Amino acid sequence: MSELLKCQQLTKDYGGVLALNYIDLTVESGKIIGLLGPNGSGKTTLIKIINGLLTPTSGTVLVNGMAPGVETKKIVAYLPDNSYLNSWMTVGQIVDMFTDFYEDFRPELALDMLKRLGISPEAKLKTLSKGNKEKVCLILVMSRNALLYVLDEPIAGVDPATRDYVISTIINNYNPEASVIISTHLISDIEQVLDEVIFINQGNIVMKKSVDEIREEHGKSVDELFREVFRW
Amino acid sequence: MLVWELDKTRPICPQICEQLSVLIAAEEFKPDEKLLSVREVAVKAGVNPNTVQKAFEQLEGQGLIYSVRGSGWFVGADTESAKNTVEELKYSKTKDYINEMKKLSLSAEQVKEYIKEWSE
Amino acid sequence: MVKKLIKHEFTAFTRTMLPMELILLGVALLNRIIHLFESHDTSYAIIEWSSNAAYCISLMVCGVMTVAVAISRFYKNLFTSEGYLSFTLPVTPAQHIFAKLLVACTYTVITMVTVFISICIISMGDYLVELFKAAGYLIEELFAHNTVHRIFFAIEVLIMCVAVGVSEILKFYACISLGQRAKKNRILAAFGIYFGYYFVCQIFGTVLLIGMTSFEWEGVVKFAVNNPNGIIHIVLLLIVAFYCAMSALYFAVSRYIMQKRLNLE
Repeated sequence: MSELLKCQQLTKDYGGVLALNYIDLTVESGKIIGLLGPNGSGKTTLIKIINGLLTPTSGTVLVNGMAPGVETKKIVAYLPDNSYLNSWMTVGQIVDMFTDFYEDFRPELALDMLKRLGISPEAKLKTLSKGNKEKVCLILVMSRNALLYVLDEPIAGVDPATRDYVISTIINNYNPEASVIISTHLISDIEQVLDEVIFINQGNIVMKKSVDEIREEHGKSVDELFREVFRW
Repeated sequence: MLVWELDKTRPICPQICEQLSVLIAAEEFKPDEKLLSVREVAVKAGVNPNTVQKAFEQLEGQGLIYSVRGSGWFVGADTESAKNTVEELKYSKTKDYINEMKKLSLSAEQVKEYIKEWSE
Repeated sequence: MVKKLIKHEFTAFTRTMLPMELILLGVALLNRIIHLFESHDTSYAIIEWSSNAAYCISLMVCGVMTVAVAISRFYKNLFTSEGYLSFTLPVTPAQHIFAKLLVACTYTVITMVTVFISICIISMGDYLVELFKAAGYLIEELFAHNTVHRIFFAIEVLIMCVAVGVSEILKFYACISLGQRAKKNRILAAFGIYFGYYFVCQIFGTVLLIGMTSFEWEGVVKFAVNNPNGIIHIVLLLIVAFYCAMSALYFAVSRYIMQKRLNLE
């Protein structure tokens, strides 16, 4: 078990608003981890820093021992919380693009998953339904053989069928050597899939524990506990 | 066949153990028959593969199942412990039920009445 | 990786630019066909006038779009939601800038060639022959005397044009990147920086010009009189060096922001 992600005194200050408040955090390999917290708690900020899309105000973040850069981008598969793909591109063109740039991308796997959903590679992204668009994005990310998967709100605003699809796709493609970080504010849908939860609130890490530990200690689901403690 | 419905207030790992024990005790899987894979159970139950792996290892510790390198998990010859687990499960579930009924101030006599009614 | 970036960048450019170039050629062809039916009718005059206008408009649109696409590709592909993908590809910021710059330059040349072809189409027939004859005569005259130096002048002017073009594109990139340092209204900030910088340059240029009047020019003039060719080479090369230095600066600024100060919204 190596330290896949290590944050030390990580801080992000948006001009007086502390989105991350001197966070220390370590994530080992071989785990599915929930990054839980209400909207605006700092989840997306942390994820964007891990992916090198934001520059921290102070502190360090190391992915597999390296600061975010070309080498970390090779091993991190990232699903942003907004639609980030060129809508004029076809699904096939995007698959080609991922094949071109990511050495660990497995196009046969992606195309097979798309086929099973009945999504044609010729389909333009903008003609797809919202649910299908989300599924395409997830398929692209999970078709990589990455070391760290970072999924930002993969089940927010999708219908229950899509949500089930997302969860089973994550489980199906999970590789015990890798780790998956899933950020969400919808805990009850996803807690069964998680090894550990990291609860983040107002830029602070409030708790980092395994799901079974929480259930054992409190006799209630993670979702219930957080609703109670943080009164969402 | 069993539906993988899990209680959200209890740890997941022991629940997976119980459910698999029920399957084996009910002879859904016979001794030396190949069991579901970790991934299959994880997807069916919608839970973490690591947790399922841990549950399998616990069942292996009880001698209920054994693993063959490269080909997966198999049901052991001795299904005694599965039966024990199921017995325990029956016992605790019934106890839970009785306790629930007590809360509804239903006497043991009345409970028996109901059970008789339902069994006919 | 750069090759792949260039490939995808080229595809994206082609998607918008190819129709533009084709329209320009189409309008030129139409224009030429209309001229075949030349007459003294009023209706012909109207048609001719509109086809000329259409040609001029498409000529301008083509030119403006080349610059606009170059700028918008840089901004949209890197600093909007598309940036989430661009910046998570295992590619360095320098490679991004280089690929975008190269394709923008290539398309500038393609547009120039298209414009040239469209002119050829419009003047097809006797005109074209005359045009080429005139051009040939001009070139012949130009290189008739002082040939070696003049060939080098031509090459130097060509290099200068490329250097100026490259530095202009990189200036846009640097301003857009600097605009990203703003908390809000980042496009507006980029415009502000661009025009602010333009003014500063103007003022600086004026001051420099005034300063130059008090410079002792005698030595330079003497040198120029003795080496009329040499002075032109020196001036051209100085201009090239200046624009190369500016390009390097703009490149460094954009790269620094993308590498060390990136804050995608």
